[in-house]
Formats: sequence, structure tokens, C-alpha cells
Amino acid sequence: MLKRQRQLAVGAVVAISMLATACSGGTGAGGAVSSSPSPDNAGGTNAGGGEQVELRVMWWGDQARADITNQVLKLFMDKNPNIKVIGEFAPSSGYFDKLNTQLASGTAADVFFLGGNVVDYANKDVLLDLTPYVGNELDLSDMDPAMIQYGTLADKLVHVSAGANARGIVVNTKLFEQAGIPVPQDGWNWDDYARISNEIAAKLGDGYYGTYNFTFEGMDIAYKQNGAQLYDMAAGKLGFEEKNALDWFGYWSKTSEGGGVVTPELAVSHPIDDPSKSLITSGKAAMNLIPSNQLGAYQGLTEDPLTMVQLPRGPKGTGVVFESSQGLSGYAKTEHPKEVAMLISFFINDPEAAKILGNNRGVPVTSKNRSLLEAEASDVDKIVYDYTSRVSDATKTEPFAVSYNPPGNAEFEKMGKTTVQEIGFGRKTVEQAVKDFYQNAVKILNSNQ
Amino acid sequence: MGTSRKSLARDQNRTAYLFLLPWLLGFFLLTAGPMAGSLYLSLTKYTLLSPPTWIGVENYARIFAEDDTFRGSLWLTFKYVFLSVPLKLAFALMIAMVLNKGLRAIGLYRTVYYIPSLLGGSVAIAIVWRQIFDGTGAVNRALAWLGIEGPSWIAHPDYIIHTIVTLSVWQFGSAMVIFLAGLKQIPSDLYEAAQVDGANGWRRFSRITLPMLTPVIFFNLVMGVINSFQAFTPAFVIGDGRGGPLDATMFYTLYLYLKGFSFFEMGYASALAWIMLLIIGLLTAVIFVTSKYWVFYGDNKEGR
Amino acid sequence: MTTATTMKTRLAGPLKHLPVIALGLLMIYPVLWLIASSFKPNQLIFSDPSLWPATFTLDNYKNGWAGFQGISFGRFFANSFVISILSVLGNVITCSLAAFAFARLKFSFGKLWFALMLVTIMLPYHVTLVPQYVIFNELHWINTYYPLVLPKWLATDSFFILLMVQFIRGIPKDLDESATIDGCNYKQIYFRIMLPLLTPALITTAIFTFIWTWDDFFSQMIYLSDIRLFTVQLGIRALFDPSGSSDWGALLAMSALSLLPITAVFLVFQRYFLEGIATTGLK
Repeated sequence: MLKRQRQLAVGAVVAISMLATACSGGTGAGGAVSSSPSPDNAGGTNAGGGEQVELRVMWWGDQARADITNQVLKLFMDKNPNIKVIGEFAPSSGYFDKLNTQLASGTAADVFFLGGNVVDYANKDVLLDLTPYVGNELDLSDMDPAMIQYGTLADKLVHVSAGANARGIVVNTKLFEQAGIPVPQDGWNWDDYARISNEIAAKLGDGYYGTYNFTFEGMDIAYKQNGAQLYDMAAGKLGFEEKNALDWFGYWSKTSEGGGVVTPELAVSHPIDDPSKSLITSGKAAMNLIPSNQLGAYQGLTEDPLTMVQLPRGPKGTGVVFESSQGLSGYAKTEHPKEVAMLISFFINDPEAAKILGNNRGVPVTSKNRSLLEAEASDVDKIVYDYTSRVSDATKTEPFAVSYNPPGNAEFEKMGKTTVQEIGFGRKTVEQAVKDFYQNAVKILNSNQ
Repeated sequence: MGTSRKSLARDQNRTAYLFLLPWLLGFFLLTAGPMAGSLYLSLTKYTLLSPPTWIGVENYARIFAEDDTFRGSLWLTFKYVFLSVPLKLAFALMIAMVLNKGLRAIGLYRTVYYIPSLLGGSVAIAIVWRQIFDGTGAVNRALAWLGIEGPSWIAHPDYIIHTIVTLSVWQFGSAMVIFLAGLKQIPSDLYEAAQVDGANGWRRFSRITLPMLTPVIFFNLVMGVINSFQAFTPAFVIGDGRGGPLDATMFYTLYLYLKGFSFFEMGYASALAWIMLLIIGLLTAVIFVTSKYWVFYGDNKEGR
Repeated sequence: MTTATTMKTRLAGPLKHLPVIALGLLMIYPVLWLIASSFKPNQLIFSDPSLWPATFTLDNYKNGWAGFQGISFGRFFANSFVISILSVLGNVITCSLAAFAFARLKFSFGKLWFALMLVTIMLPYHVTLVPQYVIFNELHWINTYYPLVLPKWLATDSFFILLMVQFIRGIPKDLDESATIDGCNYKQIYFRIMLPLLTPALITTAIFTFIWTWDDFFSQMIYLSDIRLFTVQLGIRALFDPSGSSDWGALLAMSALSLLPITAVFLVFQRYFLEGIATTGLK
């Protein structure tokens, strides 16, 4: 017995070490990018010509996105034989935990994707300044100036958008048909919106709603429609007054009383930003605010025909512009900044890459690639392109600045959504809730500067 | 005699450390360093992305003086521990007793009862629970039969804690398995002797099963308290993973995680962690001290 | 007398089963829903709540199993098996060693070590994650299975140590005392007396370690980046993106499949509970 146990233990130890050796084959990258360059990697430092360079790229998403992203990386390697790119991806549910762990230990990938929280990372000096490479390795000549502006923080280009979208109202046309109400047209206003929402709910009866409550999600747009903004990047402070917030929160509170707005309880079990649980796809709510690149996800989960309409207008217009859905940043500690710039440039400019990537991360950010994809768009994509071109026409006569999320984005978001619920569940009056909201927003902003 | 006892003790000492060697290695190489590190970080301002700066006990001061979410999450967590642990243990023990009988196809039953625990905190279970506890879910459809109109169990901040407790009780499988293993270890001759004495079922349970099972009950209690204090997954399975709605799923560990990883206040989060360690340590110590009076071990004679 | 008892048990038999079955159905309803939904087309999963799919499809399994970048779920399953089995061996061996020392041997600082052992499970892993990551990175072990498996071989799962301590303390001490008198040393007591008597606890440890490792997501996600090293849980999470177009059907299908091995492990190993000391006849 004793002998057998020992044999078992020894066997296991051997197995474990063999396994680990077998696995460590392709893993030099894991430790290669540490704060102090390891000797075996020193040869590759700043290899401009000829020498072999290794880059790591990390993104989040599902396997479909992983497949196409890897295809593009392979294409890049074919065209740049001296650069080896290792793609790493994490499921979206853990991506930022992983990224933060890697950044904290100085082992982040050379290139990684960021979303609306880019300001937080820029503030902490972990992003590579790409400015010196613009015009050389990094070609931004065909990119929308507003998008370049968006990635330029504190006069440094630290983020290059990989996909654009424009927010708009998604409409479940079947519910409008059932209620006998015509599908709304661009150019409507917020009174129309409240009226139509309530009518839908009234006509279709119990359990049906006109609209989701997007007090928080549409807040920045609402402020812009009134000549304010959510976060004033230049001044580093909030771009709106408490009065702006009170008007907007008040509008939703009043509309909710009419019965046309998804109840706070349902908004918890069927979150506003999750297509799979959405009341839009289950045919219980008629309208919601979504980024245009999500229309495909919504349509894929329902047989009801969906379409997109521009936001209701405020005093200054619709307030909608092209925004970055997500983009690429370089790691400040990368040993190969030039190659990082080359890769980013390839990602947004190369027509073959654009064909492979499609609209997965949003509409392409260069006009050439946009027209390339428009030519072979699917039915859902056509609706998206039609919508985005209407937005782009509108911005020519009514330009708006791109919104930034304030620093401390995650905390701000949590606090803002809680405020909406406090009003919805009747825990606070609108006045009290907005007062607290404004104070907390200032506090979060100050502690994250 | 004296020398041999001394050498025996020395031998025992050496053998003990030999047996403990893997654990000691693990402790010093993998655990102790990071633990000490987190204690140091709790005394710093550490944004995760820039180097920590020393601020003394400021984090602790802020937690106790001005953090409402800390108080709320501590209260919620206590409520969860005191509701879910006793319920889960009672349920698990009951089912384990039933499944310890020689029913036909007993293995299948055990497996069926364990299946909920297999699901753990997977993505799928979040979807499933929504189907069951939503406003129009299976539970409310069943209640509607009885003429009761149920609320949305996973969405209303007042009810959500009950749903989470239910989820935890439903996943009683691990505790049940440990009870089963414990029941299997009770020597059958004790029961035979009792049978001869004519003891009925309840007496057999209270005089033999329960006392013999106390080491295992003790284990389940200690681990139950520690684990439910660290409850984290329910907030993702049932809540939105951000503590919502209205902080009704803001468990202590979730708050700590959000502070550290989402809000970039790892120093503050570390301070929260050490406060939690003290609380759990205190609770565990209390259970250990009282265990003298109610846990019967085979290795001390008075227990038998 | 005898016939009366058999009559009673014969009648009581099916009656006894009824509540057990009823409660059992309640227990596995969610799993039945999961399995049923995995055969439904994507559009119907959330709109058709019935347990019997109106439209039956195997596409979810086909699409899911295909995996990505030419690596199928078969590879992920194999990877998960390797990690889980190595973890089981590690935990069973090293935790039982430590538990034996804590429960039966008197040694210097014993109480202190025991307290420290308990304290290690009281700190949530989120705050030790970054320092631990730094250690594994220094060792160049990121993107290997070492960070997942090695801790189990160093008995860092205090849960199981305490579990076995409790079981050992429940074993009458006269057994090993008489063995000592027979001239057995501690190693022999551990191997010849403790291990066989500990079977229920060892089986429990094996089952739990296997299942928990199988279900683990967070540490696998943090330490593994290479798709060839991905596990089942990582593969499943990669099937969905809350804000994008998740393949829910494939996700449910692969979730259902991922339950198979752990259910089988449980079904097979729970039998060994029956062979604890209760049936072997201790004395």
C-alpha cells in the first residue's frame, strides 16, 4: 500500500512537470514584457528593420470576434514578416480584471482595447503616446477628425478608435403596427416621445411599454441638446449644472407616471443594455436607446422587424454624433512603440482587414473602408448605414462635440444608475435624488483627477 | 522511560513538520507574502496602475467615518450569513439523513440532489434563475395558481435577498455530501447496540447520530460562515454584478472587489479586506471556543 | 411478526420514494430547462419557456463544439480534465498529510500554524491576486497550468485540511494508540490506518476539488491567454458578450455538456461512501 501511494505521488509529480514543460512552449511572451527587459528578449528591442519583433495584442469579446481578429493579425504578419503578433483575448466578463492585473504587475500586452473608460487609463499614464508616429507609421489621414480628437487626451494621442457608432432609438415596428400607431420619423421632439410611449402602453395593455427609461444612458445627449455637456474635458470638471440634471430626471419621472415607461423592477430583470434579456426582443417594449452597432445583436434575437430613428430633438438639435464604441491603445511600457503604431494603423486602414472585421466593433472609422463595406451590407447593416448616414448629414448642419465619460467612469455609472432606481422605487423625491446625484458626481470626479 | 518519551516527542515533532512540509512551502511561497502585501497596501493609496503611496490609517478612518456603502454591505452580509447558514445546514442534514437510508437507486437520488451545486456560478444558471424567479417566472406562475400575485423576486430590492438565500439553500449539495461522508463514518455497532436497548428513531438520532456528527457539523458551520461571509457569485448570478438594484446585492466582498478593480482604489479595498478578516476571525474564534461544549471528538475520551 | 414487517416495508417503499422524487424534480428543474433550451433555436430560447422544444435543433451543439480558431471544445474538455485531475491528486495527497499532522501529532507551534492555516482562507482572493500574479510572473509561469495546479500540491486549500482534521478527530484514538504499541511509526499509521479510515473524506475532497476546479473561471481567465490552453469554462464564457450578439444556444449546449463529466464523476464516486468504515466493520 505504502509503495503504491509513493509511486502514485511520484508519477503525478513527473506528470505535472512534463505537462508544464509542454505548455510553456509558446509562452515566452508571458514574462517578456516586464519592467526590466529580460536578457533573452533584449535583442528585439526597437527593431526598426529586419529584426524579429514580438507583439502581444489583447481584446475582449466572443469567439466570433476572436476568429476575425486573429485573421486580421495573421494578415498583418504576412505583410510584415519581421513582426510576430500574439493575440490574446478574454471573455468580456473578465477582461478588465485581467487587464488591470496585468497593468498592475507591469505585464500588459503591447496593444490592448479600451472602451468608454479610456479617460481613466489615460489619467494613470499607462497609455503610449502615439503622437510622434502620426503621419509616419500611423496613418490617420482618412479618419474622421472628431474621432482623432476623441483619442487625444491632454494633447497626446493615446487611443485610436476601431469602430464608430451613433446612438439612436431602436423601434420594434411590430408593436407600433399592433397599436395602430405610425412608426415615428426623424425630427420629433421629447413631448412626442412621451406621448407616443404612453399611447403604445395604453393601446397594447398590461405588460407592454412604450420605452425603456434611459435617464442615465442618454444623459450626456440630453445635456448637449441644451447646450451643456456631461464632462468638460478641457476644464476637468462637470459640464452641466444641477438644473440640467433636474430637468432631465424630471422629464422621465413625469413620463413614467403616464405608464409608458418600463418599470424599475422590469428594468432590473431585463437590463437596458443587454439584448438577450431585452424587452425589445421579447416584444414587450417598443423603443430604447441603443448604439447603432448593437442593432444586429437585437435583430438576431427576435423575428419582429426592428428599425432605427433619430433621437427626439431638444433646443439645439439631436445632440448625436459619431462616437467610438471601442478602440486600440498602446502600452506605455512597450518595447516596440513603432510596431505598435504600425499595427494600429493596419487595423483601421487596411481594406482587407476591414472586410474581415466588418461592423463587429462598429462602423469602420475611415471613410474609404466605410464605403467598401456599404457595398456589401446585409439587411440589418443597411438599416444601420442608413441611420448613420442620416446622423452624419445632421451633424453637418448641427455639429456637436464628442462626449467623454468623466474620470471614475465605473463609479459614476454605478452612482447614476442607482439614482435612477432611487427615484423609480420611490426611495427619494426627484429633487432630493438629483441634489445627491450632483454632489456625488463632483465628489467622484475630484477623487479621480 | 523519560528519555524514550522525550525522543518520542522529538520524533513526533520531526514527523509532523515532514507531513506539513508541502503546506509550509505553500504558505511561505504563495500565501504569506501576498497577505502581508495586502496589509501593507491597506495603509497606502494604491490606484492599481500607479505605485502605492503611504497614507497610514486613512483608509480605515474613512471606512468607519464616512462610508455608508460599507455599513450597508456589512449589514446585508450579516443578514445573509445568519439566514442562509442555518437553513442550508438544516436542509442538508435532513436530506443527507434521508439519502443515507438504503433506498433503491439511492446513488441516482444523491446525484440529482447534488446537481444544483454542480451548476455553481456558471453563466447558464443566471439565465435559468431569471426564468424561475422573474415576475412572470415559474415561481409566480405557481403562486398564481394559489391566487397569490408574487413580486419580481430578482428585481425588487426588498425581495432579492430572499431569492439569494433560496439560491444558497438550493445549492446545499456540498454540505450534504460532507454530512453523508460523516454519517458513513459512524460505526454501525453503535446503532446495533442502541437497537438492542430498544431506542426509537428519535432517540437514536439525538443520542448517537447527532453527537457523532458534531465534528462534521462544526466543520460545515465554520466553513459555512466563512464562505457566506465571502459571498460573491450570487451578486453576479442574481444581481447585476454591481450591487444593484439599490445596493440590495452589495455584498461585502463584491463591494471590496468593485472598489479595488473597478474604482481603482486597491488600498481602500485591502483595508476592507483586513476588516473583514478580523470579523470572520472573531466569529470563527467564537465557534471554536464554544465547540468545547458541543463537539464530541473520538480522540477525547469524555465524548464517548 | 416478520411478514408484518416486510409488508410494512413493502408498502413504505414506494411511499418513501414519492417525496424524494418530488423534491428531486424541483431540484433539477433548472437543469432540465437548461437541457431543453439547448435544443431550441436561438430566437426561441427566451421567448418559449416550455420544457419541450417546439422546434428541435442540434445546431447549438454543432456550432458550439466547433470552438474557434480551429480548436474545438474537445481540446477545452481535455485541458479541463488535465487541470482537474492534477488538482485532485495534489489536494488529496498534500491536504491529508497536513491534516494528519494537525489532528494527531503534537509539535512545536502546532496551534499557531493551525490558526494561520485558518486565517489564510479568511482573506478574499481579490486583494492577494495582484501580489500573487507578480510572483507567478517572476517565475515565468503566466500562460501555463502551474499557477492553477501548483497551489493544490502545496496544500493551499485550507478548506480540505480542516475537513480532514475534523474527520480524523472523529476517529477513535485507541486505534492508532494500539498501532503504536504494535510498533508502527507515524508514517505507517498514516498509510495503514488513517488513509483507509479517511476514505469518505478523501472521496469528498476528490469530488469537490474536481468539480470546483472544473467550474472555476476567474483564475483560469487571469492566468491563461493562449487559446490552446483554454478550459471549458473559458470556452463557454467566450460564447457570450453581454452587449453584443451572444450565441446563447451554443452557450447553453456547451454548459449542458460541461455538466456531464462532473455529474459522472459524482455518480461514480458517491458509491464509495458506502464503503466507509460503517460497512467494513471496524472492530
